[in-house]
Amino acid sequence: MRTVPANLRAEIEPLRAYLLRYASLQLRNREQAEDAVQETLVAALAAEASFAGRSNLRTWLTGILKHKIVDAIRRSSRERTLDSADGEASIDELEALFDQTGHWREPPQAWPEQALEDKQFLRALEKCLAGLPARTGQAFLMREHLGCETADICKELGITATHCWVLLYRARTALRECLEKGWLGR
Amino acid sequence: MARPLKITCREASRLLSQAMDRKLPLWQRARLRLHLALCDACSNFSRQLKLLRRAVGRLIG
Repeated sequence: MRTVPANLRAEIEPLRAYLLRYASLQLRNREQAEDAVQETLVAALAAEASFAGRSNLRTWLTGILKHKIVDAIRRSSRERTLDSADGEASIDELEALFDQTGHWREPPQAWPEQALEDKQFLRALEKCLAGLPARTGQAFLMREHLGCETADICKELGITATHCWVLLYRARTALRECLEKGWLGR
Repeated sequence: MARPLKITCREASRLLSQAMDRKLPLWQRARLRLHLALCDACSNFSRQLKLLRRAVGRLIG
């Protein structure tokens, strides 16, 4: 148990960079990310009392930020600030992962058990996420972090269900490949 | 059903990704299970997808 910090503002400030990094990964737009973080901090300070008894400030803030990100995605899906996802939903590059008989060209390896405890793994993951094409990365984080259902992702990103499956599949295959290179150095 | 029970890694990997997002029909699950029983690469891929999900939770939040 912890009580409301004497100076929440002072505790929140060092987390701003972290929140911004995460919002940027998700929104792929610096200005929108800064707005979402700003709205989060304002909301957090206004709701200081509801933090009472919570153990982790970062988790609490990230929870608020999630909502702000969803709002931002809604707004930008109306304005269509990102390019169409059509190019990213191409299946060609995915086909190249397999030979003519449908076998992996480079079979996925067993990853070390303790990957989740490995800071280098998490750093590599962040880099790999940032390297995904905008829509692909956004769809993936909407699914894996915001926990959106694919129907909602399609709707917000203005794409068909098929494109949605392809984007998620593409994100996952690209991430695991990127991690095997960047983290395991294969 | 005309579709063969055996599937390729290409198909299996696609189904494994979809299985992260929706409950697959029974038939697809059976094909997938059979494939995974015989294929280390796809079993690794499957574990990697689950790890990715947990890792995102660890990275953010």
